[in-house]
Amino acid sequence: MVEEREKLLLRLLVSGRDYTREEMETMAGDMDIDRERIEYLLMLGLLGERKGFLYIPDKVRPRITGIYRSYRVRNLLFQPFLEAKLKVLVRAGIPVMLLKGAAMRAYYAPGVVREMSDIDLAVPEERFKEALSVLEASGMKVQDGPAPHAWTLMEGGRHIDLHRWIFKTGGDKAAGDFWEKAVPVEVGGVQVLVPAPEDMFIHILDNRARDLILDYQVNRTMKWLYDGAMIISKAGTPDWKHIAGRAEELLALSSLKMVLPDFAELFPELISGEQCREFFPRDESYLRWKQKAESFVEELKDFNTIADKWPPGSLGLPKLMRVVRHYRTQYRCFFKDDLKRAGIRMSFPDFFLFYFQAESAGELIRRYLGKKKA
Amino acid sequence: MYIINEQKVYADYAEGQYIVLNHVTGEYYSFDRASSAVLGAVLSGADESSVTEAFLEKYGPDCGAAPKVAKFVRELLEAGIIAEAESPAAGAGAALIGEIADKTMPELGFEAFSDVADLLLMDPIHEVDEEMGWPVPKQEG
Repeated sequence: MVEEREKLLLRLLVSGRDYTREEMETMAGDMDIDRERIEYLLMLGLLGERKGFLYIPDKVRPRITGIYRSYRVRNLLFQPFLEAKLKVLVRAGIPVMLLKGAAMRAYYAPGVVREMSDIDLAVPEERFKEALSVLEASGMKVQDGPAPHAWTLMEGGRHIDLHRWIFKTGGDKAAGDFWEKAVPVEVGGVQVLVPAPEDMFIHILDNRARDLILDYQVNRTMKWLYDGAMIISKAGTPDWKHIAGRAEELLALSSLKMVLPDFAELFPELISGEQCREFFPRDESYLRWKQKAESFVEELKDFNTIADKWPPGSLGLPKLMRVVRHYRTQYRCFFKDDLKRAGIRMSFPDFFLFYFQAESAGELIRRYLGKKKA
Repeated sequence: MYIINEQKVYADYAEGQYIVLNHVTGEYYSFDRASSAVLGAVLSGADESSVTEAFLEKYGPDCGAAPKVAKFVRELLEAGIIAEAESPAAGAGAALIGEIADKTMPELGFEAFSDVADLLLMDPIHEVDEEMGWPVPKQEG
């Protein structure tokens, strides 16, 4: 749920309009800063910076300006690292697309200070293994627990999520023209790409929907709304019929049906409730999608409760079977149908092996037996 | 004529203020608006004398601009934040001085904080001085 003061803050940020004393009083008047979310404080700082933090209450102004300053520094620290990694990839002849926060900073909301914990980059699927090698040669290390669509690399506390597909279920592969439609942008003297506005919008909302389902980052309510509005504003007057069609191509239409009503409530000048209902109806296909998602959430809660009780390092067939069941449910609820529609052949055994970074069932069993002996 | 010394520092300019990171030493430099305007002026083609002239025009002949500007530019060079440029950059130059809001000739300078990595570990809400905010830590006791 987005609070009234958050709605005011977001509308002011997106519109670019100057705030009044009364509006700042609404947003920060009775603030107990020690109990506030960092996301809200940072966005308040973002707004306040436009007017020299005018009207922000004296008792909280130093800490709000400090929060804003600290995130400017964090963002700035990312920049040389990002540029160095882009250079090694581009010099190897590998096309690179910035995603999420990196794309926002480079193109859709340039220079806007934001919370960023990692950098998301995409390379064409056929260049993925090569890109991994290039980044490893530059000093990065692949982390455990890859997802089918992206692997995480780390260096000195900084992460890169390297995507072979932009959408978790390969929606970009299904559409086929995601890279062709991408927008060129220069970062640190190298040419890279960002997704086209409608694709970026759909990508951000799809991620938000999946986070909500899985209960990740639920406190980051404002960030995606802000990003979505900034992106769609860059596209000019949105053609919602076209966007709905594109979301269908990207296998993300149900995600948009889930989160667009919240977006419409906040930005009725961008999309009306009527347009929401017309182009993103919560129809039977949405309800089936939602039911499968909810099934997985129930399974996830159950699995986490059991897994929390497993002694560290313990192994055994019952545990292994329970893990297999968990991943099979995730595969069935979240991946199977969309992967098939995207033309990606990934059976459940392939999916399971991918998660555990094994080339074959034999390798996984040998690894399991090896640990057991130890 | 000067440029940002990109071999050592990374600069970010937003809403009238510069922050500069030395990515070799981990130091972080914070500039107020007046000093940011002077830094912006020298990076966009102005030399010391044109910046000084602009201050004298704004604040009068007795404002003491010359030594303050000279000291500031010297400190920027010594910190490795700027380097000499072969040719002037294009830009607003000394005209930026006209945008300074101070009613009298401001002091020019920057604050340096060492080891930004440690500073960033601080919780910017709960572990900082309430009067100063990040990066000043809360005092014990």
